[in-house]
Amino acid sequence: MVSTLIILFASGFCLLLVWVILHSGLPPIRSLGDWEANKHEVDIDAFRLLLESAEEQYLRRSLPPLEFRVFQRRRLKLALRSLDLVGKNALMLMKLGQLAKAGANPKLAQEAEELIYGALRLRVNLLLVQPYLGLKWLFPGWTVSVPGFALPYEELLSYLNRVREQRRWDLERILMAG
Amino acid sequence: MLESILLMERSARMLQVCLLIVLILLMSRLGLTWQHYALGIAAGFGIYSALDLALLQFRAHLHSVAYATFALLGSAAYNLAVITWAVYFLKPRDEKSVDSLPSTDLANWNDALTEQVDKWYQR
Repeated sequence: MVSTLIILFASGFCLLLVWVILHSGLPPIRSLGDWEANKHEVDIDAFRLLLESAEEQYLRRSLPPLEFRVFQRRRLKLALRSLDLVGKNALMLMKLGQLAKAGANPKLAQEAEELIYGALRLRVNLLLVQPYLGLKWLFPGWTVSVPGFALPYEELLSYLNRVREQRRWDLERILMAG
Repeated sequence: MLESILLMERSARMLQVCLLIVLILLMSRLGLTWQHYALGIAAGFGIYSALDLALLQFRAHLHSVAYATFALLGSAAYNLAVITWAVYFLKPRDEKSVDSLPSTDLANWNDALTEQVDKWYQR
């Protein structure tokens, strides 16, 4: 009975994921105009302010604990919303980069490679920041650092760098040859 | 004999479903963009293996339903996958190539997020 439930859950989950990838919820990006029309404007200074430690300390000192938790949750929710929009922007830019890479212009392909690298790095950073902010939202008074994530993160970033360098050399070779 | 074949098929489908789940989750979380055809192929396999796995499981438990019905449903699942592949390969792609790229603030956002990662996660 348990194995039946596990198997049915796995098959249902697989179908759900297929549905999710086919309907990503992102607008289709087919040109630069599509990006301009669909991009989300997010203020980076406002985001920094929302996560400013000094601000948090000030609020903690000046507000009663219950009010501080409510207020802090609102700030974190706004920060998470900003990150959600920035993540969507990164996905659209990746798509745009892929389209530019498919063109015949090698110089543009190199720029597209940089754009895709930047967007991918942002998505990796989001993988770390979003769960932490989620935890902070659950426990607004929490100030402890999270151990154990440093090594895979550094390794992943250096791997991304190596891939970028390799692709840059390949493109430069094509430019020299052509 | 038939039981061992069904068991092997069920194991293979389970493995296929798990691999597809891992693949789709990793691609989605990292935001790696699917190539048009790769997306269609993965979606077709996902639909087929998930439906077939469920059918094999029901077949082992629902003895009142005729085997012929399960055989027909299995074929229908495969046909659904074939239709998915056909749609993806036959549908004309209306993507134009891009002539220029926009200026973005990705670097600033990456700096801001790296600051937060450095602050929160112990090195």
